[in-house]
Amino acid sequence: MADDEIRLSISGMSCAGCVRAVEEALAAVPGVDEAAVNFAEHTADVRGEVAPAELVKAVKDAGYDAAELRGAEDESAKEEAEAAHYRGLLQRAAVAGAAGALLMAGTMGGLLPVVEVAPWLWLAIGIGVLVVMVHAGGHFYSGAWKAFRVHNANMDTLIALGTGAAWVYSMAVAAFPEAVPSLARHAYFEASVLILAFINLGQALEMRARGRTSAAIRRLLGMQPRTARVVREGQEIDVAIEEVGLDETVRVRPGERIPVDGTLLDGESAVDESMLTGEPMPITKAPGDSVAGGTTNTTGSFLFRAERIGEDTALARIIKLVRQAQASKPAIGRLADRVAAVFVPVVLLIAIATFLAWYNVGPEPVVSYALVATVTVLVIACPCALGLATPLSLMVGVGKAAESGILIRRGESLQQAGAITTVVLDKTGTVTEGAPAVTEVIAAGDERELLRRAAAAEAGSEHPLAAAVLAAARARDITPPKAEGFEAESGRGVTARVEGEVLFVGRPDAHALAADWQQRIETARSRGETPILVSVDGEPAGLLIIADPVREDSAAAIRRLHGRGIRVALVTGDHETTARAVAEQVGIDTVFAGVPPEAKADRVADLQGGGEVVAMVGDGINDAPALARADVGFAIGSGTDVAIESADITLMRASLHGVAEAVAISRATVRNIKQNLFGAFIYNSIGIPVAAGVLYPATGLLLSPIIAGAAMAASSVTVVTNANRLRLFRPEEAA
Amino acid sequence: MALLVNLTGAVLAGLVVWWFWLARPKPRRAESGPVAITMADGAFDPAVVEVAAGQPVTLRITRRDPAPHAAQVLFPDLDRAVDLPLDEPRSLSLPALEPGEHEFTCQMRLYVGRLVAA
Repeated sequence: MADDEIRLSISGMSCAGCVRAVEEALAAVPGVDEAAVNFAEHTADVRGEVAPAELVKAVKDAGYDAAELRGAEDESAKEEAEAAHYRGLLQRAAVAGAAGALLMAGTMGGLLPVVEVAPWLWLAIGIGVLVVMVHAGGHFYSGAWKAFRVHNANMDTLIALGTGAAWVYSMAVAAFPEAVPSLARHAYFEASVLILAFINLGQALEMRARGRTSAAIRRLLGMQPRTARVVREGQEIDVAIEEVGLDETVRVRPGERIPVDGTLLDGESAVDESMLTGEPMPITKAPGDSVAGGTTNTTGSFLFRAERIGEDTALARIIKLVRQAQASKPAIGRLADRVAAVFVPVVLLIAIATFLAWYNVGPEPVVSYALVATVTVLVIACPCALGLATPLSLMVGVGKAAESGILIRRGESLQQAGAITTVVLDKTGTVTEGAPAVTEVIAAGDERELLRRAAAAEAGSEHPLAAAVLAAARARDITPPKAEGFEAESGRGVTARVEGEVLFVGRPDAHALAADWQQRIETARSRGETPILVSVDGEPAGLLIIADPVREDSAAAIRRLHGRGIRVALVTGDHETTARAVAEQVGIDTVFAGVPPEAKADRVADLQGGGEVVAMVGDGINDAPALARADVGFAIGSGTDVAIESADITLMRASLHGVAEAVAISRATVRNIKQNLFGAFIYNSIGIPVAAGVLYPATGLLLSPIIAGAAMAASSVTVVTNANRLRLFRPEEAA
Repeated sequence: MALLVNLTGAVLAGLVVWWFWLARPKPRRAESGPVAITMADGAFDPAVVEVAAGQPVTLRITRRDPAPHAAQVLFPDLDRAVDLPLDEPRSLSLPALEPGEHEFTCQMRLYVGRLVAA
């Protein structure tokens, strides 16, 4: 087995000691034969049988950062191999089809003598047919044999046995015609080759159609640029994408795709991120903003620092996630798997039973009838349709979702999304923009002083409202003093000692306030705003009114969910009045207000206890327990690692329409899978008994093995074609 | 003659049941380092791999079959999958496994293998 050669970009090395530390860390990974670090290039070359992810982990564990330097995935080699395979299948089908057609014409047109008249001729034809069978079906025979050796049986087993049995019987008739009753002296060579012709043709058509099911992945892969323009020693040079290292400065010119992820250093431009997020409008990027590989720069030019390369870029992670989801099995597919696991041996038993039934109670010539029925049973049975039913629809459904900026982690999540009966929406950042801002300062004394103290107390908090207070202070050029003894009480507020005084910043409810302040609080809440109280040593010092505007499209998206029969609830730590005001603006009827983050999961559990299938939609960071508790957790509006890791479904676009679209895609996909499974089960449940001859006593109907071969090929093509219909589904148009 | 044919049929049926359901292929014990698995002509080689339970394991899978269904190997119990370009080995690191059997298959279950953690 050849060793892999893996190249890593290393950052964080500052001296020769670091080089040794990284080399030692790499060499200690099992499977590594050789590791050499190049300090000047900040790269490491590793040889051995080892997964790149393990090397990256070893370097990170040693205190440095690393990423694999890898070229953009080359789809052309794969497509070339598949095209060659497709041509091979067609060519085999043509050869087998021509041989079968000639034999059929010869027999039916009376050009070939009957077996007992010229057995030597039929023996020669049999040898010729064997050559054609090996050419057109060699892969089935070797596959069947290899599977048999490891106690496995698959579609190859059935084809090999079916065509093989027809050939062996025909050769026996040709070699010993006298040993076979006269009525049964018929050769079935044409059946052997025509079955192979149909199955090869079916596989070719199936392959062509399957290619279309992975269009979404191909589109994502196509977003990866092949080259990048890096700044080295003051010069801008074009390099292959795999040569862009961590922390390198990269130039992006107008109209170019951004090669890797990073932070903008110099320049300004609007970047079209629609392929990644589904968001149609370009986003303006300025120094300090992050940019993502694969997105398209519009008119400006800028420099950025490469921070995530290779498999660590958002695009690479999205591709990985989509592939993982496409490869997973939802519960709906497990029944098919269980059936498929025993399918072929069961068909073999049915074939044996068929032979014996015809042999014992069939009409003369019993051997011919028994053989025809047995071969037909073997050939008509189609485990492929069962095997294809779920994965192909899932592949199209997950890909379709990715095109709309909806990232699904597992097939199970996709299936569950369609069954949702209640959607619980977090307020801040989900229904609202998630950018709260102080809109009003009401102070007993000086307004600046109030903000200064509030900002000092809030400096240690990670709450979005704290960020609003700090931003308001910064906007007024206020530098907050240092706070001590910071304590945060979830759902209530923060306490800290500032300049010798105990400050409280948080919910005003537990405090007795003057009537006019009380009035201001009520007014703010009735507008959907959040008032917070600042008190000094227990004495109310002022109010800060914070507003977080509702997302423009939240109301329309909630209407779509209602239209699909889904109940929508709002959960928030905010006061009841504020929550109700926001709920009213967007058309939500159920409100859970005053719920601290850790209790949101309990609300979800309560709803589940009432028999609801619950989706929780949040930012994926501070409501992770609720996302995990829900039947389907949606993280909205970001491609951050935390969100992707904690949610079942990540909405790259900050819009609740993604939830409605995920539900629509899920329902369409599950419906498509059910159609495929139904078709595959019905096909086999009807096809196998008919092939065995159950209709013969009543109607005299016995299928030809050639028709069975065509039916088998058609059944898998039908499943693939049906899965492809999903590609036409438009989630954005679904109500 | 009829007795012989029926007897042969019964024996064949018994052999099918025994070979495909009752008899299990002998697992190949993985030595240290990555476990090499090849998928070609409808079967994994080796089809049954024994690995040490409680220890992470790396599989190195090489696909020699150009058929599209062989382009991915799924480990449904472990919720893992690996994409396989033709003729290029791909490594898959699995966490420490509980003692037991874990099936791995191609997308259509034409290829079926087992990982036995013992």
